Amino acid sequence: MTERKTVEQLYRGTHPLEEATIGDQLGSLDFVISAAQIERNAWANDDYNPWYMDDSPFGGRIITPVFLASFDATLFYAYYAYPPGGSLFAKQEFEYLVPLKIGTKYTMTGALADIYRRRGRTFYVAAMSITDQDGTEVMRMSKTVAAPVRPVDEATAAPSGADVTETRE
Amino acid sequence: MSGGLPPDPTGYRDSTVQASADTQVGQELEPIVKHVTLDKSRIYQGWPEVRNRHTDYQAAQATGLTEPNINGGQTAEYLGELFIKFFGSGFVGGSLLVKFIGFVSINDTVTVRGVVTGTETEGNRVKLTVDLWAENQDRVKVLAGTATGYAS
Repeated sequence: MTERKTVEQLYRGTHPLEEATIGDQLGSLDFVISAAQIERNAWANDDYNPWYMDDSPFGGRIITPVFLASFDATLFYAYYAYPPGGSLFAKQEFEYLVPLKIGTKYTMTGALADIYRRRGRTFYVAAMSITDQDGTEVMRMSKTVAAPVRPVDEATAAPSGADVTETRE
Repeated sequence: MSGGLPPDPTGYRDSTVQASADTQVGQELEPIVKHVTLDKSRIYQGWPEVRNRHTDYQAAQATGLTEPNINGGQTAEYLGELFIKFFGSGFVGGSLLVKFIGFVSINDTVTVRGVVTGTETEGNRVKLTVDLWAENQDRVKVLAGTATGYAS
């Protein structure tokens, strides 16, 4: 029987999150979204929009507007080690420059843009850019990851050595 | 119902409210209702190859939760669905911001709503701003967001 692993165990990041610094370069991720991935997403969410399933006005099947939300998490945790207390998505932003299509190769690059602390958690803001094979930027994204899952005492929440902005929103 | 046969409950249907140059501030979007199940969460995650606190009780409880919760990326899809249904092709050039403000648990019923909060003219196009949010069966907000896009 094949050993099954948690998604956290599948992450490859090695840099401790508590040592994160604004400006950290998270690297890049090449990807192609398959029809099977989009169809599974439609099934999971009961959203069978024909633009995803059949064709769109943009010339081919496109991906859903938030589909890449898990991809930037993959990039984030390909750089940072998944924290022992787990983490949450706090905020996600997307800017749509060109619709992304099924079967097309794209590249996502990212960097850590901000760190702040609030209500017993530390928030890490990663800014991502997605480009097509010609180098044209097709989407911008920003993901805010909060750790740990269960808030800790504010007095002990600040990571040592991290560049922490105290307030936000 | 056609010929006494029920329609496909998962069949796609366009929204009755779509962005247009005549859309006014205060216009409410047609809500979307989602019933979230453990199976739907497992499908989204890629279970059984992927196992985590969104798919398995043991993993959820290891992080202090009592039962699996729904991944933020999955719940964001619900706002994305309303976003696309409202703006149509006018989503290109637009934006979507999603804040995850509460847990979505298995067997929750989530209703996604929206209201137009702004319109402005850019050249010969009309850009709209929309507040979006999702609430559970107890009317507790679990997601909040803002979107922009263009009238088609």
